[in-house]
Amino acid sequence: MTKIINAPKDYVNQSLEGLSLAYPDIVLTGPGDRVVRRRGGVASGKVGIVSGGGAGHLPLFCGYVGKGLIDTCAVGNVFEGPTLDACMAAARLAENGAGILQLIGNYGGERMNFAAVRETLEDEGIKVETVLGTDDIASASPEDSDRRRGVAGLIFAYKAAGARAAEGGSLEDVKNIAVKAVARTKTIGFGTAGCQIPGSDTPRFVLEKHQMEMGIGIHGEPGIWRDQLRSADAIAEEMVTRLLAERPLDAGDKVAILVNSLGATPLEELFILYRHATTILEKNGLRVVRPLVGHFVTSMEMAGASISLSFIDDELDALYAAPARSPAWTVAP
Amino acid sequence: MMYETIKGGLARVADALPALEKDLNLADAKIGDGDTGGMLARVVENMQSVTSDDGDLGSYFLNLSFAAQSATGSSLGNLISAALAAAGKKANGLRQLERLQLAEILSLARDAMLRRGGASLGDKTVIDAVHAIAKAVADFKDQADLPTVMIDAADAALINFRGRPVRIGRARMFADTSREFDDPGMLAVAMFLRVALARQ
Repeated sequence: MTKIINAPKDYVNQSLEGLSLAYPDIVLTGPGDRVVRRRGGVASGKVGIVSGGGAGHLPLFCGYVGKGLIDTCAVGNVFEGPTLDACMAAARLAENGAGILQLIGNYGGERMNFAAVRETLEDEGIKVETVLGTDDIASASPEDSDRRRGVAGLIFAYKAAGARAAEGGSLEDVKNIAVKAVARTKTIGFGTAGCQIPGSDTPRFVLEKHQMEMGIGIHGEPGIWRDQLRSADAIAEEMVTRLLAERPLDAGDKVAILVNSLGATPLEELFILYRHATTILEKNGLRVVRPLVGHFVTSMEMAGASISLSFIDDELDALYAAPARSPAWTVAP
Repeated sequence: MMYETIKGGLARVADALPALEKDLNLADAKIGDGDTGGMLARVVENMQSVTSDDGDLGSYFLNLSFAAQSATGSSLGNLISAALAAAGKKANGLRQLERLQLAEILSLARDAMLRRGGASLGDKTVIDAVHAIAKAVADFKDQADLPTVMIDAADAALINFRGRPVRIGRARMFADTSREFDDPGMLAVAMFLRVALARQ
């Protein structure tokens, strides 16, 4: 696979350097410049929100550092959790008197490192809460939903928690709304071509021409089925149908939608998926609000897309609509 | 087993890294990201810079733990760091490990990894390899053949787990596929031990 890079070892740091140059509201700091923080820091008395994750998914995770979203983010190597030192530095930078919410995807390295960070900070008297993103419905059964991975739907939790923190919510408030957003957000993806880690000799996975894999994860984790490529409408219909089967029992009639490219899939194809996805949602009596279509969580050059549905109530709707400003997601006041 | 033994073994692993890294990446690509070799290469490179002036194994293991921790935030890297930290605490003040001391330290390292990662024995992870080696070292009586015992235990663990699925982490999602292949962490233990203890 062709990559536009200088050297594999510089892939992460140089991409972060470019990101921070393009968006001067964020700053690189911490061990190895692997922590991204908001310029100006966290306001005194505001709950800080820290996240972290492997590189290779831009704009996730650090592209959501900004006003009304997350405050700091630790960045690991490609598809690898950030180091403990980076997680610790990011968490400390997020603290300014009101405690910290650790809002991370459900991945082993991140869980272990942020658990160690929490233990240390709590020993120092700092209040810390942790919420894991678990929106990928293909990664475990509903009965085993706490083992599910966090994928594109994590950004809804960022938005809800970030907005609640910005309006002065307590750590408990911010945690509770993040838990609610996670519980009400479901995602499924599909892939048509894999990606390759810089420096690796082989692509993460290989699909035959005109094949697709439904339910694939953002690191190429296997999905539900692999077969001949279907039409966009058939793909959208299956994805939305699977997501609707997981609709929370207390959900209302409003749903926020994210149609996300995994990297190589263009906007045109995303809008074709969006077109049919919304038709099916409306047929099911749902009102589609706050649509997001584009590159929000990627796997480098992987081809494919994901659809996330966030079954929202008025509270979440208001928080999703609140002003925010970050490289990946801006909501005008 | 002394500081020089471990340092020398680590140097041999570092020398063999290009081939080991490639083989481990290929093994990991079957049920993971295909980057275990690259990640472990960074860990070993960081560990190579750790030295001890006085040969105290406690501080040496702790510094190796920090080296692993600063090289990667991956699950496997985390487990290695936890194991070495536990070993460091137990080996504090020791300049040499006799067989039973080594067995105890390996058991403590195994337990630290179980706590850190939340896995259980039998989940087909690197911890099963460490458990097998700890048990073999504890059971064996002849100190002179200890390297052979350790290598054989790691190899036997790999064989014993063939046909069994990985039950935790990303690889658990590869269900049936994971039965066919070695866990990359277990494989790394076997490959690194063989090189470190210089058995061809």
